[in-house]
Amino acid sequence: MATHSNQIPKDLVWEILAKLSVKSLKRFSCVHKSWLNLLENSDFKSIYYENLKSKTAYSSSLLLWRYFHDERSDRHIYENEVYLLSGERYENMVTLVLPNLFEEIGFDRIIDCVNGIICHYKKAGLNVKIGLWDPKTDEHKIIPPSIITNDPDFDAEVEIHGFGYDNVNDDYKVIQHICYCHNEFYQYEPALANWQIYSLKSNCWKKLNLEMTEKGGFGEGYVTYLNGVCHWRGGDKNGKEVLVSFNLSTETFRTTLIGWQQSDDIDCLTRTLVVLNDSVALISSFDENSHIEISILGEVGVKESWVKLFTVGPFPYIWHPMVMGNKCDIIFFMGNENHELASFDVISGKDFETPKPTSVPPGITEDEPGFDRRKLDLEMTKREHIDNASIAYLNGVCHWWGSEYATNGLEEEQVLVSFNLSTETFQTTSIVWLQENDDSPIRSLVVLNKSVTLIFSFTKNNRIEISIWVKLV
Amino acid sequence: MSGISDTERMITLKTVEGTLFDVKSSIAKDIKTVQAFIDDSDDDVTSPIPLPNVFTRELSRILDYLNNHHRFRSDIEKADEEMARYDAEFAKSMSHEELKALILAANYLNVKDLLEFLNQTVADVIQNKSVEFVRNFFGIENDYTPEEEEKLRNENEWAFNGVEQD
Repeated sequence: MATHSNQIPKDLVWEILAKLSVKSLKRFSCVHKSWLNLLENSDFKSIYYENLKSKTAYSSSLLLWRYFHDERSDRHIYENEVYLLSGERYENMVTLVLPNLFEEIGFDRIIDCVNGIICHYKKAGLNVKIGLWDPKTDEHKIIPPSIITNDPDFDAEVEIHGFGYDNVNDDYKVIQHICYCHNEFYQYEPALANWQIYSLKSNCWKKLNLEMTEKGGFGEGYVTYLNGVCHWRGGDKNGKEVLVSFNLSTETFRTTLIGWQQSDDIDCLTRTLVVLNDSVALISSFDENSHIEISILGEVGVKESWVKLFTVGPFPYIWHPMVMGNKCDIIFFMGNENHELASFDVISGKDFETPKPTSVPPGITEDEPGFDRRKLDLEMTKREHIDNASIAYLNGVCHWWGSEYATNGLEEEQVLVSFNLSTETFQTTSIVWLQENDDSPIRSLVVLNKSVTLIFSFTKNNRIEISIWVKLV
Repeated sequence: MSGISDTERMITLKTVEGTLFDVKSSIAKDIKTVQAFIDDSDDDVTSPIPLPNVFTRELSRILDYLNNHHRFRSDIEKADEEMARYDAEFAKSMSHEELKALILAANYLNVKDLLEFLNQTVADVIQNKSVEFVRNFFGIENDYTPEEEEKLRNENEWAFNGVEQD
């Protein structure tokens, strides 16, 4: 009774094969005819999916971010929200508030979250600042400015392409593209454009002598990070959609064509780059019958190695896939007014219960208690600018300034509107100033010594003069 | 002579070779085939339970694995770290033949966690190996004609990059 012939039965062999990457499965299709097209065999597929599910269940909490236009706001402001999701059904949902990078109206975005560290940036015009934030310790670091060539004719535009961990050098890195646009003719100068990489260890930027395709958009779903490599997708010179995979330690890149179904591409609504089973995957959602496809990349650089894993749908609604959840599900925002979050199991094709946020930022959920919205039947002058200098609050009254046409309909008149929050009535006071010859003073509305105060600054005889006007009740 | 572990009921298992192993009933619970045998017996199981498909080498390994995992679980603080270290050592200590023999034993005895771990170990072994290695490992006869195989290899050429030496 020495060593016995150890023939592993077929069901166990399948259990083992279900743990392999798509690359190995493709290679092993040569082992035996019964191993060919295993991913199209429904029995094998269910084992494979179960494995995917158990493998993806490692993450205890998920970070989600999104930008959307709040339709109920008449201003063109895009909201930016960051959530931390945890729990069996993502029932614990916490809204995170990103640290402010600088005081100025601009938009905040997240590039990625790697090992719990969030890389975010803020853009206001040409002003860009990048920060690294660990929400657990609340440690925040602002990355030093990029290497910018100062040319009076060109404006430098910074586009951040990726953030990740360099596992060879134990370093965190950020990669960005800088291009220069002529400030008069609005033409880009390709000779000036360059790629730069930031290393946290050396705390500085370095130029890279590479020619890579830039990412194709600014929203979520264009970049992802996996095992020391930053991936982004964009359109190459020939207009073909490609995936760029940049290795943070070797600082080299590879390009993979995303063209496994070029003919259907017209119908493709949105694509989202995600990580699934330790591979880069792409969620494509199609317009026609709102179904989605998930394809996984077997080998970076090989366009034939995109393997379609799931096709699900149709859906009764249009939706935007966000991230892969912890249970082989996709978390997404429904395209409804309340921007509700939902999750969808790609294996069973079933909707999960919609998670409800535990903390809701004002203005996005109407039925939340404490956020009662009502229309006011008032005709008030609108606020002139959206910056902070045009509003002030004092003792239950909101003040703002704006312009209205005087009763003769010709002259524009500057007024101060004072809206009482408790009586919901308003008062208009016209703003007059003595310097009649001055054309455009800069005004700031502030509270000074418990009074509403207007600060004017004029340019007079090439000198800046400031006058402060206090409104007496 | 007090303490729960001393008074815990012991179960005796008998391998193909006739070797006897005394096992705590809490450990036997993880061996589903044995537990089912105990549940089916009306009286207390006093005589050794025969395991006609399990050899001494395999049973001794399985019990070692289960005992250690029980011990790790009782010490929550270091559990994950020590368990991972132990598992890695455990997987490394076996030849491929021994690994396959253990899978068959764990499958027969229905030790779920161990079987899952062993399947993953095999998957890790074969992940980057050649087609020939895998045929050999599972004892599979090639049923493709050379032409068919050649064609298939060409179609999936990318999947053959970076294959380890057997």
